[in-house]
Amino acid sequence: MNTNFTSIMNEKHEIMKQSLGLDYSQFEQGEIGFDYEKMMASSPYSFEEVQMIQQQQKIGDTPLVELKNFTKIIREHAEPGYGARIFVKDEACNPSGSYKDRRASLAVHHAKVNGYKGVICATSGNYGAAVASQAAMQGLHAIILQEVFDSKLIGQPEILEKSRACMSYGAEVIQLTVGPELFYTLLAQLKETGYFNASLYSPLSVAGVETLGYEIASECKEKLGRFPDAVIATNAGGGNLTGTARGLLRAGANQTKVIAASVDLKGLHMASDQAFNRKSFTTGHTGFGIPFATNPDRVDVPRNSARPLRYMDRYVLVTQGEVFYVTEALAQIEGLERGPAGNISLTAAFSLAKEMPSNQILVVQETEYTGAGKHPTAQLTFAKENGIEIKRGHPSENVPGEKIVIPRFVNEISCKDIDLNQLRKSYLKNKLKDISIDELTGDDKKYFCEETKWSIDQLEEELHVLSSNRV
Amino acid sequence: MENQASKNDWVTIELTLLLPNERSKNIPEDTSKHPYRAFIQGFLKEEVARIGDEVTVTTLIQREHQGHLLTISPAFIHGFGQPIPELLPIGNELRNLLSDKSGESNEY
Repeated sequence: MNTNFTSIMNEKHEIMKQSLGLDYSQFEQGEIGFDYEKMMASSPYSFEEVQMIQQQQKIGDTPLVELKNFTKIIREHAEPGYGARIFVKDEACNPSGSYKDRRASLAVHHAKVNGYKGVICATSGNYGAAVASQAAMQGLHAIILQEVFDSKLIGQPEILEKSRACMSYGAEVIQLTVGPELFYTLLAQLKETGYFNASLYSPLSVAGVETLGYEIASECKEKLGRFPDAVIATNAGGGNLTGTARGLLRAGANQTKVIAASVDLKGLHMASDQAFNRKSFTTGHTGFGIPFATNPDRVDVPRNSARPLRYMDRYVLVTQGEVFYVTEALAQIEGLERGPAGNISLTAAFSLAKEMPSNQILVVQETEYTGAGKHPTAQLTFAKENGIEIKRGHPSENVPGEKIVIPRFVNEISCKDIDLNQLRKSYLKNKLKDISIDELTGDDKKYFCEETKWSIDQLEEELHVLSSNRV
Repeated sequence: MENQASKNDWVTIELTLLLPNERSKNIPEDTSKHPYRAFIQGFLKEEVARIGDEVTVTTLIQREHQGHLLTISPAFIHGFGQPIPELLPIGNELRNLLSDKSGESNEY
C-alpha cells in the first residue's frame, strides 16, 4: 500500500476518470468555466428514479417535526409579532443516522449497476457510515479512509465513533494521521482496487440531497399551506446546502431563503497536528465551509458539484458553546437527543427565528444520530482533557481551540453574518490566480455571474478592481 | 501472553505510508515533521506474532495488508465522557422559562 507520493499524484486524472466512470472534460467551457447544469444532468437517474432508489434503500421521507417549545421560548425574547415557527427535518431517522444516506445512495447504486465490486470514500464524517451502510444493503465492499489521529495517536471521540460505525456495517476502515495526504491515500486505494470513487462532490452525491429539499418544500406546502420562508443548512463541503436548495427549487419554492450555517473555528489550521484535537467539532465548521465555498474545485473530483455560493442567500456563524447549549436544549425540552454536529443549523435557527414574523416558517433541514463519542458530554470531556476551558458565559467569549463558552441565557444565542460579497470576491481571486483577466471569454464571465449571483456590471466592476490591484 | 497474538485474532496493524521527507510540501511544520501513518484492523494471518512484528491481516472485506502489529483485540475506547456541570442546569433553566408561560394559550 506504500506507493510513491509523486507518482500517484501524477496519475490523478486517469485514476479519477476510471473510478468515477465520468469524463469531466466534456463539461469544460471557456478558459476557466464549465457547464454546471450539463454536469448535473450527466447523472443517469431522473429525479423520480432517485426517489425510487432511495425508497428502496430505506432512505428519506423522514419526519418534519415542529419544535413548539423552542418557538415558545424564542417568542419570549422576540419583538411582539416576531418569532417564526421552527420545524426540523429529523434526518437522524435515515438508516445510518444522517442525511448522508441520501448522498451515498446513488453512488453505491451506480457502482453496483456499473459492475464495480466496491466503493471507496475519504471522510471522517457521517458520510463514511452512510456509504458503508448502503454498501452493506447492496452487497458491495466498502473502504472508508478517515483522518483520525494526531501524531500521539489521540483521536477525536466523534471520529472514533465513525470508525466504529463503519466497521459495524462491514467496511474496511483505514485510519490515518493528520494531513492532506488523505487524498493521495484515496488515489492509491482507488488504483489498487479498481473500486468506485463514492466522492461527496460528484453529481450523484449532490443529486441525492435534492430529495431532502423537495420533501421539505412539498410537506410544508401540503400541511402548512405555504412553502418555508427560510431553510437553514449546515455548511461544510457545500453539498448539503447545494442539494437542498436545488430540491427546493425543483418543488417550486423559489422564494424560500436559503441560509448557510457553520461553527466558527477561526484560527485553527486544519492540517495542523497540534490543532487537530483542539477542535470540538470535526465538521460543519468554517475550516471547511469557507475554503470550499471560495475554492470549490479543490476536491477529489475535477469539478465539484457542491457550489454553495450559487444558492446561499445568507451565511451565518455560531460558536461551539452555543451548539452544545442548543443540543442540550433539544433533548431537555423537545425530547430529541441528537448529535451536536447535526444541530449547527438549529443553533442558527434559534437566533434567526427572532428576526422573522411569527406567521413565517423556518426549517432546519437535518438532525443526526447521537451516541458514544458523538455527544456533548463526550466532546466536552475530550475538550477538557485537551486543555480547553469550558465555562458558562457570553458566546462572544468563545475562542476556538482555547475556550468553549456555554451561554448563560437563551437570549444570548446570536449568530453572526459573514459578508457574502467578501466570499464572492475571494472566490473570484482564487479562480483568477493563474490567468490574466484579459484572457477571460464571454463564457467565463457568464459562468462567474452564475457562480457569484452578480450581474455582469457588478462582475466587470470587481474584475476592474482586481486588475488595477495587479498592476 | 498479552503481547502475543494467534492466527485469526482481531488486531490492529500500523503502516508508515510516507516518511516526513516524502510528505506533501504544503503542510504546517508541526505536521510535516511526523511520518504519515495508517492503522488497519483485521484477522491475523500468521500462526503467532508479537507486538511490533511485521504481519499480515485480512480485513472485513477479505483484503490483505502488511504492517507492524500494534494492538491485539483493540477496544473501542470512546464513550460518553464525564457529566458536564456547565450543561446540567440548562434543562431546568429552560423548563422554568416554559412554566412561567403556563396557563397562556399557545398560538401556533
